[in-house]
Amino acid sequence: MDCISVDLGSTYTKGGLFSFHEGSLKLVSRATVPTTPFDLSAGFNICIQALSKGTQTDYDIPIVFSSSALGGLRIAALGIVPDVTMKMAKLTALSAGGRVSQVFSYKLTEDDLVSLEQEDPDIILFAGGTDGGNEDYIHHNARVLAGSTLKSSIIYCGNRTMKTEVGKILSGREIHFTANILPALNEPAPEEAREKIREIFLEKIVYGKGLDRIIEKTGTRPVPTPLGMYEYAGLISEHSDEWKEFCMIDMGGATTDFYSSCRESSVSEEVVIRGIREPDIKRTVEGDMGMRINALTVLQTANRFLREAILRTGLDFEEFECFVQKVSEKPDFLPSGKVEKEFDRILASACVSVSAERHAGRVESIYTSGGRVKLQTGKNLSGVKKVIGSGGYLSRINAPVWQRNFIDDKGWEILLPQSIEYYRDEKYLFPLLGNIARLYPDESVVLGIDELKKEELSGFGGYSGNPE
Amino acid sequence: MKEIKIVLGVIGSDCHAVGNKILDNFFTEAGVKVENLGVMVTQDEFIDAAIETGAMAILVSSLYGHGEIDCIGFREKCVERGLGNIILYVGGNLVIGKQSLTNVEKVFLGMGFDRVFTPDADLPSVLKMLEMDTL
Repeated sequence: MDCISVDLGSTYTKGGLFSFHEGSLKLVSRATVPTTPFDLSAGFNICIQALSKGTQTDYDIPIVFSSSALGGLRIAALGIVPDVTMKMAKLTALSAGGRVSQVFSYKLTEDDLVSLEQEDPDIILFAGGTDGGNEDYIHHNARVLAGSTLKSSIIYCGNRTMKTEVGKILSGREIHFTANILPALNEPAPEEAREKIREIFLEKIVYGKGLDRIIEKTGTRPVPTPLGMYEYAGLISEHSDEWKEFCMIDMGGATTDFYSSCRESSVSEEVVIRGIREPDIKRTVEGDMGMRINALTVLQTANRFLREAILRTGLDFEEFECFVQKVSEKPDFLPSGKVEKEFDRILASACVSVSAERHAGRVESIYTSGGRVKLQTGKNLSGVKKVIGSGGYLSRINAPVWQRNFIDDKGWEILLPQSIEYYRDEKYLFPLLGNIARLYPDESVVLGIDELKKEELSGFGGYSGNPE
Repeated sequence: MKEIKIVLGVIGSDCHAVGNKILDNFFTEAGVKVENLGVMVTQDEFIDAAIETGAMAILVSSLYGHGEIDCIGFREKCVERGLGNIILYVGGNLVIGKQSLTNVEKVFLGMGFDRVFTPDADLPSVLKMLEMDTL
């Protein structure tokens, strides 16, 4: 039994032909063609033909696919307190594979509404209040939304007590209701809202640009690529004992997505955990860390890191700046020659290092009359060893240099992995396997892990990026 | 009767957890909806929680003697963040040394707390006051 998986990216359309035989899944062939942004089905067809050549007629075998083309799913997150329900709304949107286009806290103002209408997101994730909690802000924000010209789907996932009233205020709008994503302060429950986001993506976001034609031909509907990756990460940790805990970095031309799979554990007994509990599988997206479209912002954000790296390799920084300028204008640029390849790797290293630092939790030491106490916020990755590099860039290049700062600007400890085993998704299979996992969950996990290539983390020049 | 919702916690760098658990149990059993933030809670965390849960009162504990400095500006911060009318209770070993209760009470009432309690406060009467204050 064969099946095809295709991932429509913003630059490339990737496909793979897989065979399923006697309980095991194998990769038969791989194809990559440029994405055709004005009619996605054109590139899709070319990809399918390249894969099914000599086997069966084009659309006879099951085809599953995902899409991150068209810029992904834009979600505006609404909450009340920035560190509480707004943060929870943001985490939920990210775990559903969305791109968080805007966030709003407390009362929506007229200015907020104007910027919401300008952005015109696909979905508004309307959260706020614990169950039985705050009603005023919800009431206000519902009224503001009711007076808007927005056409977005609204998902109400806030205080349960306000559900009927929100329904009344927003009657006539496209509104969906799910369980509260934060029913009590220390009980996050993003699952229902995440499922609803996926349904909405399937129902309405996929139309236009030829995606509907693909749906018609294949008889299946796409998932957003990051959601496929998120769920695949969850499957890996469920189905493999050795891969309970890991990080996964998916680096593209515009963003770097960082996933971690581990339970939120505290560093030790004497640690007090504060803030809302983060999910076991967590995804963050760094919208300013991209290898092409956002290469210039990487140059700005990680300037010191890049200068040091260039210095260590003995290359010329001005030349590097020219390189960054060049690639930022050409999203499909591929490096040629030793110097350009090293430049690309240095840029990737900056994206990895910064994204990881932002993803990981922090520990603050406080000296009290009773001795030292540690306060932890966010996830503790210090015991996580395995790290997977995927995405168009990390699949292609040798292990990047992951320079880990264990202390941040405020003097807080950053809970990054202490020692790393790096695995490269050399054939760039993960987004494809994320789709296949819907047909063969167990087998896709086995194949994905088998195809990973273990690599030594190296350094720039003679310098080792690994402190051990 | 309307359900009473409160936020509970130990303020500042104070790790004393036992009294906090006792208060949580007592109020929960009495039918109060308690959001317990545990130990080492900042002023902002108390207020964040009160906003999200729609609490009517914040009950602040302090055992380690630095309660005064931890509580300075609490009421003002509530006002700034739109909770000017919330009921604020504080209790515990609020200051270091032997100071008279009236003196301590005066200091904390002056800061905008509605009621001040000693470590040996009688919990059923605290509950009665809470019911009265939240009417």
